[in-house]
Amino acid sequence: MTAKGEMISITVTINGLPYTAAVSATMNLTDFIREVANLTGTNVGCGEGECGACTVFLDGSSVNSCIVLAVDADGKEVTTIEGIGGPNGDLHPVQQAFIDCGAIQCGFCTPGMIMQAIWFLKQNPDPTPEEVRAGLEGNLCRCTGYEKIVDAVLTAAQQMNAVETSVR
Amino acid sequence: METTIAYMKPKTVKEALKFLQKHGGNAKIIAGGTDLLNQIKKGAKTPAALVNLKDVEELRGIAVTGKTVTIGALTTLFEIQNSEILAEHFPVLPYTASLMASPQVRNVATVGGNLANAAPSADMAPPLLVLAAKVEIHGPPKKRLIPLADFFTGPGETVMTGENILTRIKIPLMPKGARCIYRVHTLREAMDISMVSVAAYIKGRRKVGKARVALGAVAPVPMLVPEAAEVLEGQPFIPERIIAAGVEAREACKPIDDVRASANYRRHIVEILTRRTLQEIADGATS
Amino acid sequence: MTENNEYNVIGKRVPKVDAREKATGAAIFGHDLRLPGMLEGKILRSKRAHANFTIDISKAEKIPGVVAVITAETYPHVKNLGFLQDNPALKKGKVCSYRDEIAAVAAVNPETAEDAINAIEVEYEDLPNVCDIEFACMENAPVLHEHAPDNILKHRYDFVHGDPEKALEEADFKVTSTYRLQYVAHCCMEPCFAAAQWDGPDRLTVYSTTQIPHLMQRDLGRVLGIPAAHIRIKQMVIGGAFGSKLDTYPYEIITCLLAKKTGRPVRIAFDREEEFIASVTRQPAVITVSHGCTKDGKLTARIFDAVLDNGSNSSWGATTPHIMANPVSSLYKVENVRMKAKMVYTNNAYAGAFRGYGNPQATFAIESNLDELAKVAGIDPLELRRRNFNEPGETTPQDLKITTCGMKECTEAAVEAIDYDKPLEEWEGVGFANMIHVGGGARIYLSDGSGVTVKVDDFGRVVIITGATEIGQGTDTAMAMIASEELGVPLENISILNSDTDYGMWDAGVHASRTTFIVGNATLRACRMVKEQLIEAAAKKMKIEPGKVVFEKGVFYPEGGSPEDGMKVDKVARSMHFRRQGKHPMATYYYDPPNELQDMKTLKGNVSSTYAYGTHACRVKVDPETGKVKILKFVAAHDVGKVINRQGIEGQLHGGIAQGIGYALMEDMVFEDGKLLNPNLLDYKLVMARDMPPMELIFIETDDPEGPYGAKGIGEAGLIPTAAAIANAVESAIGARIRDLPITPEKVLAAIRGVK
Ligand SMILES: Cc1cc2nc3c(=O)[nH]c(=O)nc-3n(C[C@H](O)[C@H](O)[C@H](O)COP(=O)(O)OP(=O)(O)OC[C@H]3O[C@@H](n4cnc5c(N)ncnc54)[C@H](O)[C@@H]3O)c2cc1C
Ligand code: FES
Ligand code: FES
Repeated sequence: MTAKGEMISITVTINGLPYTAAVSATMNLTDFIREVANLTGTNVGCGEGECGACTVFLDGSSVNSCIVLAVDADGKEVTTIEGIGGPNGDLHPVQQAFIDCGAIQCGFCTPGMIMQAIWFLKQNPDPTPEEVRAGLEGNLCRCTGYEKIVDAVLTAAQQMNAVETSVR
Repeated sequence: METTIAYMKPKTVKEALKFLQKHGGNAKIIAGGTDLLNQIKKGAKTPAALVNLKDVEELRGIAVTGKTVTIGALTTLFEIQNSEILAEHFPVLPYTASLMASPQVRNVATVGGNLANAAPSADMAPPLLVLAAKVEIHGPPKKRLIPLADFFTGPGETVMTGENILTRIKIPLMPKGARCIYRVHTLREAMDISMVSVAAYIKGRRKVGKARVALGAVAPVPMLVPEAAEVLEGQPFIPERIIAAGVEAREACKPIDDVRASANYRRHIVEILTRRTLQEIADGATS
Repeated sequence: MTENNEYNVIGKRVPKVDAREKATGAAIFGHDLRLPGMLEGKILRSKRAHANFTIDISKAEKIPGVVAVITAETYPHVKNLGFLQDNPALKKGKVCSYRDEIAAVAAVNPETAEDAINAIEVEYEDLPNVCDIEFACMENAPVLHEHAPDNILKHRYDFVHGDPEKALEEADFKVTSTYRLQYVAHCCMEPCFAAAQWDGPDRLTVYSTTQIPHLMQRDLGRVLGIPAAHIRIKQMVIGGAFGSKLDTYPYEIITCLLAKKTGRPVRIAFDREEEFIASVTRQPAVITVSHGCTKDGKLTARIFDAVLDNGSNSSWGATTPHIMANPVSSLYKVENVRMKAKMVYTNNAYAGAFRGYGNPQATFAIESNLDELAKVAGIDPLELRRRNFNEPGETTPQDLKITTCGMKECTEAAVEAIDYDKPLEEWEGVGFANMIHVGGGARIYLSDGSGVTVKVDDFGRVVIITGATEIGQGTDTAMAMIASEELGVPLENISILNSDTDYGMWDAGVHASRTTFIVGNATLRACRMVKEQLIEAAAKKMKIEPGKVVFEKGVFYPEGGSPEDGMKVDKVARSMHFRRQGKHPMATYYYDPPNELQDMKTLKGNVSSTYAYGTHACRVKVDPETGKVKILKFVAAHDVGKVINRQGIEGQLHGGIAQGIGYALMEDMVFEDGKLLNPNLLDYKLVMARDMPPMELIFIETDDPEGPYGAKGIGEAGLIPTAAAIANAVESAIGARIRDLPITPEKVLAAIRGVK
């Protein structure tokens, strides 16, 4: 028999909105995001931490939501691909760069790639191509050969830095 | 017919121990969960209860006290990678963490989980072995501090029972003139479980004072190779000795055939990688 | 890189039309589908490679929340699947592989479905495993299927031209070697998915990730015994396919059966492990190749003998020799050629279509063998190729009619870019390989056609209605670009309506690199028909002859007049139908290319209306002590006919090269007695960002007369010569040939020691 975890009531804030539900202690965060909050942009490519398609932010750090327990997000903030753009359909510069640079083919890896790229650029706002490749070492893509993804991240970095400088 | 896994999130080690005791060793500790969740999903582990250590603040953090650096078991690989204390005293550890898994996994995986999971390929083990680290274990029969070298007993097995908690890792500061590095052999450049890994610790430049060599992924447990250290100690640090150490390491390892590599290939790589690792130290590498 | 100025849109870098929804998480993939009342389906698979079994489902049926449990007995009239119709969706009494479906359940949620699967009791009576093709072919080997008492599939591929045996005999130099190609997985990032819903006893809607919506409609009708006219296939956004979704599979039938039995919508979604175990693979093969040449390096003979491990049942993998025949017969000029291929049933996994469809395997063997021949003949490998290049105007031994051919240009450009003659450092190697592949569709069914309707509305929006399938390769964008070019409408005013057999016109499916070529041609011609209609209407409005209307950048104006006084598309469109007996501006074009169905006996005929060529070249460095291969630089030069979307074509090639590098160096499904030992993404190694070498792409535009704007199909080309180029470079580095893929460090090391 598959063992189920004890049911526990949790509240997780996802993209600024609180979601409360009683969930099994063994439920993973991806299922909470997809089934409880009904946000389906976070994809599942493996469910084992190996592909990065399910990458989200948990209190600001990027994690594979498939190998994080939902109960571990209790009382915390989660950001998903649906939560990174601005109002009125504005895109995050990384999203825009992925579109412009042709970094998207089938698009299944894309939400996870973009989330990881955003987190990575927070750690390293001015990376070299090699650093970008290392920053994305937890994200698999079967379509693009990564070349245009790396381009997109570098392009986004440039744009974000340009905006930063002009603000100063 | 249905089994329910109880869940608890203690705030202190004491409380955690109580929970573990209550389930008579059938409970499982969950730290980062990066190993455990997959094991539960695949049915490899079916604990009666999960004891989540995330809120046990006393198990976090890295500190220097006297001649010892203490790393809390709950410290994440990301924290190790970015620790200034470790960068100063044991640069090999941040480097090792940076080689492991992926950024997303490193953000949640813990050093305690890596050791307690006791995979033969656990990357934190070889460098900690050569640094002569000790691990602090709480729970029955009593709180104790044992050398990491005595900790692993088999694949997925350690001296701990289901009622024990690995609380801290204690590493003696390296004496002046000592260096320690870690090297892995993988097929992919990233996100790969090592086919073979080697950590080496050498004190002395021209002449080797103290030496330690440890291997990962080539035996049921991560292992020290005293024979390799012996051919180095008290000897000039020269290619002949380094080559001999490689041969000793090769003799000592006990690899198996699996999907990642054959035993023969692993044995060969042990020799090569041991030699190269030592040579790098001789050439001045520090992490 | 120079951008083409001949056109406004064609040849430019255009972001994909579906990129935004994919970047925001709005795209609805299979697992995002929510239907009211939908149940979770799950399949019980065999725990043996080969066994008779009995089954007891009574315990599973009693679990609360289980709505249905089905076995082969439940719907005995369901017909078999597979190219040879040898594959029942649910197996009856006997299993022939670990992927075999024994029973299936539908339950209220995944956990209950899983519990039900675990509660099904199966007793196996083991039969001897046949997991090796040599063993399978032995006399007295255990028999897998009654219809194949020798374990060999009935259909064979036999092609001959000239007298290859004699030519080989008489050749000045000759070489024979055997190459082994492994099982590899498509590893689409999205695992398999299907959902089905019945409306009454014989009206069925299937939500699918198929690449062949119309053929699936036909397959489902035949297998389920209902009129195909009652079946509607709605495609989801597809998270990668690469050929894996080119057939209709047991899980899809099972989904339909569970939905029928429960009267509710049912979905089946694989997890990664099931994806590895139970989806199709690339066709593994053992290939023996001989080449002979004259003293001057003129190729005189090629003999190619392939034995394919067909696995337990047939899918398209069993037909890959059909495409292998193209490079065998037609890569370089060879006067005397023989190809033989046989497919052997074993208790292993079965293969399907996978990007290149047998061609990467054949090209690996041929191009490796040619380098071996060059060595024996003492001719530089490049020189040997140069003496045998294909040329435009040639008719090959297989009767392929070569119209445009950039083989020479590709080769010369690639070797120059890789600096072929630069002296090599120790343990450095350089190598290259060529390819030919269908580039103008491939007639492997009766029809190679596709219908496209183009509609212009009152507001100047252009809607393209098509039965073609977008799997990430970018054909939607190519179609939009073509419409934009032809009708002068900006890209943001163009929509693509596809993914539904109820409105999409027949399309033979996304395969054989055909979509941009075929659907592009259909779109182009439909757009031109609409343009005619609009010009005629504009002429009427301006009271001039249609011949005097100029159409530029979306504006119609009289010859000699200026665009400022002209009429825009929307206005002309309105003028057409805002009146009595009005007409709506729209047109349908059905394009079926001028290619031929080959005679299955002789395998001759011009299967494609044009052929794509390409050269991959690389420089590698080998670590002589560990055997690890590092690719220092990778060059791909391709005859693409004409670039339609520069960004898209680059992406296709980058992705193809990545898959090709994986094929060459690390991807390997490791089976032991039919059981897959590495069904996860840590142990089955796809290349990651850090594994990719610096790449240089070169496009040779040969302007094909049949292609849209001169374009050829290149969806598959990117990985066809990759493994061969890498193998040749490794040989150049270590002086020993590795004939088995993947070229692992372990094999390299063994080869180096063999030389010593
Ligand atoms: C995609 C992927 C890639 C990986 N790559 C690597 C790699 O390159 N190198 C490598 O070494 N590992 C790798 N791992 C394995 C894993 O991430 C590490 O072993 C990690 O450090 C485990 O830590 P955790 O906190 O997640 O452990 P958990 O999963 O929480 O626990 C692991 C085991 O240890 C026990 N445990 C945890 N903490 C304690 C404690 N304090 N006291 C007693 N018992 C405890 C648990 O009960 C469990 O049995 C990888 C894993 C994944 C999913
Ligand atoms: S789905 Fe979480 S890492 Fe693959
Ligand atoms: S775009 Fe398809 S997996 Fe990355």
